[in-house]
Amino acid sequence: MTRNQSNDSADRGHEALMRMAAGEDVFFKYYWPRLVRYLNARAADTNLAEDVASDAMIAFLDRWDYLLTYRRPDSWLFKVATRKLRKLEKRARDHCCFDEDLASSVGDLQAAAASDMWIEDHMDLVAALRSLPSRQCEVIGLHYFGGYTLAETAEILDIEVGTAKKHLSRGLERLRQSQGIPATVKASRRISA
Amino acid sequence: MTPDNGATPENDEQVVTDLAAAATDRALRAAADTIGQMPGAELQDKLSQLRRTRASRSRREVLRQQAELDSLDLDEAAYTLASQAHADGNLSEAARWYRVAAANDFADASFKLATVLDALSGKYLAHSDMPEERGLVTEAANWYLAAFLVGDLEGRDPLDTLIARLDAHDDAPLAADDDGSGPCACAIGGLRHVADLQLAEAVAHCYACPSCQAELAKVRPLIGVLHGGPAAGTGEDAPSDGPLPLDPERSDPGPLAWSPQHSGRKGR
Repeated sequence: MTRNQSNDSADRGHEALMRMAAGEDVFFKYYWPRLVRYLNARAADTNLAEDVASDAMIAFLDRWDYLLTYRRPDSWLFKVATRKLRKLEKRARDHCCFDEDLASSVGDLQAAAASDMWIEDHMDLVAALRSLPSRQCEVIGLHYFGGYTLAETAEILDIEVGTAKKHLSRGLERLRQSQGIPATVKASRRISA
Repeated sequence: MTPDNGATPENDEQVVTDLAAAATDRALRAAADTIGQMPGAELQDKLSQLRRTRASRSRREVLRQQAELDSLDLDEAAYTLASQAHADGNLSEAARWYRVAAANDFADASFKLATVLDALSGKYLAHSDMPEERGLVTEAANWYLAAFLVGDLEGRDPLDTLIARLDAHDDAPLAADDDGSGPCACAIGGLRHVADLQLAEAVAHCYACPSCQAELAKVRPLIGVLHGGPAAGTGEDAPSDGPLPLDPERSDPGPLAWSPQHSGRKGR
C-alpha cells in the first residue's frame, strides 16, 4: 500500500468513526443502503441479502462500543456480512435448496425492483453482477459500491491484494462482455435529470 | 497497406474494447454514485424495525447469534492453522484444517484444500495402487470445481489433470489383463487364476484382493449379459446367490457426478 492509499484509508476510517460518534441513526443511514445493495448485487436472492444485512447490522449494534476502538469499523460490517452470506449460501447449496439459476435471479430482481428504485435503475447491471462468480462480484461490489481500495477489499475478503486485482480484472472483463450494461444509460439519464 | 487515418482491424478491435471498458466503468460509477440514496422514511422504518428485533430477542437468541458470529472467526483460525501446517509440509494436518475453513467457503480455502488433497493423492500413488488415492482424487476434484465456480480459475487445469489421472487409473488394470502380459497386483496372478481355487478360497481371496475386486467389478455386467438378463448383482434382478461380497465403495465407486465428459467416458 502506498503512503497516499494508507492516508486515504485512515481518513475513511476516521469518517466511519465520526459517523459512529454522531450516533446510530447517522451511521445506519449512511451504511445500510450501501450494505444491503452490495449484498443484493452479490446474492441470488433479495430476501437472503436483506436478512444477512439485518443480522450483520444487529451484530454491529451489539458490539458498538467495542467497534469504536476499530480502525475501520465499516470494514468489519462488510466482512461479517460477506462471510455470513457465503456461509448461508454454502449450507443451502449443500442441502440442494438454493435457486441459483438465471431465471430465478431475474424474477427475484424484478420483484425487488418494485420496492427499490436503485435496483430498478440498475437492473441490468445488478443482474450482470449476479451472474459473475461470487469472488469477482464481491471484489467489484466492495471496490465500486463500498468505495474500498483494492488493499482494503483484499483485507475484507481475507485474500492477497494480487488475488483481489485478478478477480477485479476478470470480473470487469466479463461485465464488458455481458449484454446488460447498456440499459444503465437509463439510470444515468435519471441521475442527470 | 494501412489507410492514412491509421484504421486497422486491430485498432478497431481495440477501440471497441476500450468503449466497452469505458461503458462498464461508467455504469458501475453511476450505480456507485446513487447507491447511498434511499428515501428517509424507508430508512427510518428499517432502523425502527431493527431496533425492535434487537430489543425483543431472548437471552438465548442473543447467545446464539453471538456464537454464530464467533464461528465466523473460527473459520479464519482454521485457515491460519491450515496455512501453517501447509507451510511446514504437514499435508494431512493442512487438509484437516482447510476442510473446516472450506466448509464455510472461507477465502480461497477450497482451492488450497484441493491442492493439498491433490498432493496427498500423488503421495499415495507414488507408493502403491491404494484405494485411498482414488478417494482423495475425487475429493480434490470436487474442491477444485468448487473453487473454480466461485472464481478461482486456477482450479481448471489441475481439475483436467485429475480427471485424466482418474481415467488412466480406472483403465489400467483391465488393459493390463486384456493381453495377459501386464503387471498384476494380485498375489495369484489375477481373476482368471481364482477360477482354479475352491469356491470358499476364491471368495476369501476376492474379499481380500482389491485387484481382483476391480476386475470383477468390470466383468460383472458381462456376466449378466451372458446369463441373458440384466447385469448380475446390479439391481433387484440379481441372482439370489448374488455376487461375491465385495465392498462396493472400493470396487465400484461409479462415475463422478460433476463431469459430464467423465461420465460419458465411463459409461460402460
